[in-house]
Amino acid sequence: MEQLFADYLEDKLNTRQKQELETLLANDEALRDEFEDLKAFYADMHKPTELDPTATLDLGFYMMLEKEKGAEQKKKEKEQKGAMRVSWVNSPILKYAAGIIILLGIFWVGRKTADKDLNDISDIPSLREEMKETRQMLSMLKNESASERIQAVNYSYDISKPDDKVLEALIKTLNTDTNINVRTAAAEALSHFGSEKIARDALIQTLLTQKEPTLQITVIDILAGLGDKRAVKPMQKLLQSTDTEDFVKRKAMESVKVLSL
Amino acid sequence: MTDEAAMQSVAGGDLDKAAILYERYKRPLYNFYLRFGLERDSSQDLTQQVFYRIIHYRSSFREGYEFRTWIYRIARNIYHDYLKEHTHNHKDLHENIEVAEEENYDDEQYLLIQKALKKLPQEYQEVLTMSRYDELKYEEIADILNISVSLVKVRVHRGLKQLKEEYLKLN
Repeated sequence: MEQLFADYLEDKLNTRQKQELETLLANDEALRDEFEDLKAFYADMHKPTELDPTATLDLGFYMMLEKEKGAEQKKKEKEQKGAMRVSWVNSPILKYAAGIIILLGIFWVGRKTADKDLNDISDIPSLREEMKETRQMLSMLKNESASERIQAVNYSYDISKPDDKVLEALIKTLNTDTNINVRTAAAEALSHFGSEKIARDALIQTLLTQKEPTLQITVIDILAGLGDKRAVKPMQKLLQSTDTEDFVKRKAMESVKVLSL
Repeated sequence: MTDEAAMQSVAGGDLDKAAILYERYKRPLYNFYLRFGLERDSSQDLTQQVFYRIIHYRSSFREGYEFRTWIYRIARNIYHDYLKEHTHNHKDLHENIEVAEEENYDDEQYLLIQKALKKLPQEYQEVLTMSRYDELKYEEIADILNISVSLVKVRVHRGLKQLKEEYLKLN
């Protein structure tokens, strides 16, 4: 009866089922009354007028989209550079040429650096821009809105050489933010700075404390990608723990194998 | 362009197609959260998080997925994360929900049904809301909740019976 009633509400009964329902109702007065009551009640559950979100949502989305597009572009450029580097390295003539260019380059940089007044460093526009982004990021991380904090974390992608303040802020976010999405975003941002030991240490450490399976999976993936063998121990601990979800254990097992190769 | 084709393009790196999906789903998702009794600001915040996730985890969208159920599954997970974060102050959360609903809707009949709905177990609330208000098919609900279609139907029937009882108590 339950199945038939639910299908009746969605108008999905075929002729045979309709007949079955009618027979059931015809033979049971109490059931018929209940059916009619629920049908009427369901019809009364009308959908309220839908409300429109404000322009703030549009603004937030399109800003986030632009940010992601920028990150995607950078990723593509990096991949292209990587592909070019591989083809260079394979050519013996270019290897010699590169050696000469590097020597000349070292000489030129040495001359330039000697001439440069280091006090003028804050005038370099890109550096100034990075300093501005760092300040903006640190301040946005204190915002009450989780999506604002995610955006703050995403700002860190624009900082090519993060100072300790940025990394520490990301680590603190990873370990203490109340929102799982913000913590996940912080883990991914730290993986972006995977060449920094402090970032890798934090990711390894957090594996022992994070309880959310989705975040555990993200961190395991990141650490396997970074190839840091020190991550094997905390992963083994996760494998031994009875609190760890099975699918997390499967992921940890795969990653331990990869890291042990 | 279908939702699935747009999402496949996004997954392939054409992020501009995400705007198509955003424009189609921002209103339904915003109202999905409002109907769960969240304040307007929180509903916007969670809606934005849904789009953040679909863009950020775009590569996890596989061929053969139905986009509507995929995005609603993400929206539901985000809602559950939100509830988990606020469970330390359950009383406040429930009071906020009632206040928010009264601010968002002026339809007395709807508000009364919502009040009764909140007294049901979570699994009944979900299927009734998704089926009646979000207009999702039983198959879609089953996919979102990762349960069988038969169980969805059973929950619709039992949930509706309980809802009516709670509604009559309030009336």
